[in-house]
Amino acid sequence: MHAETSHAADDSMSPARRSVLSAFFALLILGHGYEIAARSEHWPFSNYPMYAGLASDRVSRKVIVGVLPDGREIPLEINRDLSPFDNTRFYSAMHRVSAERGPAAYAHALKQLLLRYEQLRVRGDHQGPAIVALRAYEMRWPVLPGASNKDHPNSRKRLIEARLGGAAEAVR
Amino acid sequence: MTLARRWNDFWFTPEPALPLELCRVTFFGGLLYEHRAIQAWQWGEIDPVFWFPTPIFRALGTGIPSVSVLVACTVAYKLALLCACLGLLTRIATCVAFASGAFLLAVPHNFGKVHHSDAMLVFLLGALALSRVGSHYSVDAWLRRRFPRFPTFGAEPAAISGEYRWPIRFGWVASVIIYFAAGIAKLRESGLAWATATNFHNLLLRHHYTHEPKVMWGLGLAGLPLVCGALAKLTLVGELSAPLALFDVRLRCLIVPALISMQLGIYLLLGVTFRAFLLLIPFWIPWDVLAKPFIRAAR
Repeated sequence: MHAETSHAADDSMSPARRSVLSAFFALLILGHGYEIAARSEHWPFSNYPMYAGLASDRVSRKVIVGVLPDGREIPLEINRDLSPFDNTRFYSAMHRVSAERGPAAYAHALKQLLLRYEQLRVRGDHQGPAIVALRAYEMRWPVLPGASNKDHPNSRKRLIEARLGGAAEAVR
Repeated sequence: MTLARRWNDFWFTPEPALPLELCRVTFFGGLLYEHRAIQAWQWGEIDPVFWFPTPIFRALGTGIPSVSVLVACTVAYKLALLCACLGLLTRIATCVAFASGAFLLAVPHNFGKVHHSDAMLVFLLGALALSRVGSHYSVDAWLRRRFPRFPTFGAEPAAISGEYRWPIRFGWVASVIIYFAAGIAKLRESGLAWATATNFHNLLLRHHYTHEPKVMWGLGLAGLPLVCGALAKLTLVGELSAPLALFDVRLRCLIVPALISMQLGIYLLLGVTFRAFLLLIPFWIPWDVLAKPFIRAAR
């Protein structure tokens, strides 16, 4: 690591320059101090609550699938097939549309996602097949030693479905 | 010693330029690599039903930026990162990198979720835009030697200066804030129960259901309660003691490698990469010590 030096502070830097920089340092420290104290996030300030909660022995995961014209389902990868959304942002965005903008907006959002998949497919941004509907499921597992049951969820519940040329449906 | 004096000494004690210039090359080079395929322009194609503006964008009163604006910003950002890494028109490049980078990084947070993974990069870009980086060991410095009238843009080279120290210290403080805040959040949310073997056991196993860990060792470690308990306690202690690394060189030698190892462990065992955090590592590298043999050989 860096060796400590015994020089005094640099006198060649003007007091005004040092004051401006010190204000910038204080903004970084106090801004984050506020977020830590208030447990809030106002980007780019944050309280960095990474893995802060206790990890329970039950786990749930949401997955998105596409429905082929013959009714078969294929798994979709949000980062690739619904870009620029990613796993972190996608479900949070859907939840906020539903909670803050109501059922009509939610149905509209689902249709837009289906159209987005198709737009990216036609443009060659992903190599997935044409699909006629989009579905989201929530899968649940009890955590077992060795994660031996990870390919066999205890439950699989359909959350949402959107069809091309049809009404979008939210399953609650 | 007064608090003001301590503050000034911490940030502005004169140092040679080499460590900062090597931080410049690795930080901007790393950022260019990390954002080589940045797709921010795609947000311009997303339906407004997903637009939940953050306070900054609400204050600006802008809607979703257009694709052309986002493409222009992306081009400017990448060019600026390249120039800043090389040290070409460095003062301008770092300012453009900050302005365009802050905008491009901010846009996705208006679509449903504010995430902290890249937030500290904005402060680092801002710090380097304010700094006098690029005055040595840069294309600018080479051009100034060949063409004495080549502008310095206010970055007059000096043998040693506080200007070469504070950006590195800024990188330190930024890193420490991340880990210290994460430790405080764990304590407030879960208390000391976070540091138990049971919690760490569940944490290790859960990611095999939701992510794709790089190695399967976590499954074996989860079966060792003593190891789980020790790792959980080390994690919490490491995060909470991060601020000590700012003030004591011996503790720095212990805490910083421990936190970097923790980050590596998270990547390998949980399959989660906080890649932006890795870009803060160059600020901790003792470049002056590492470069000493080369400087001696060059003389």
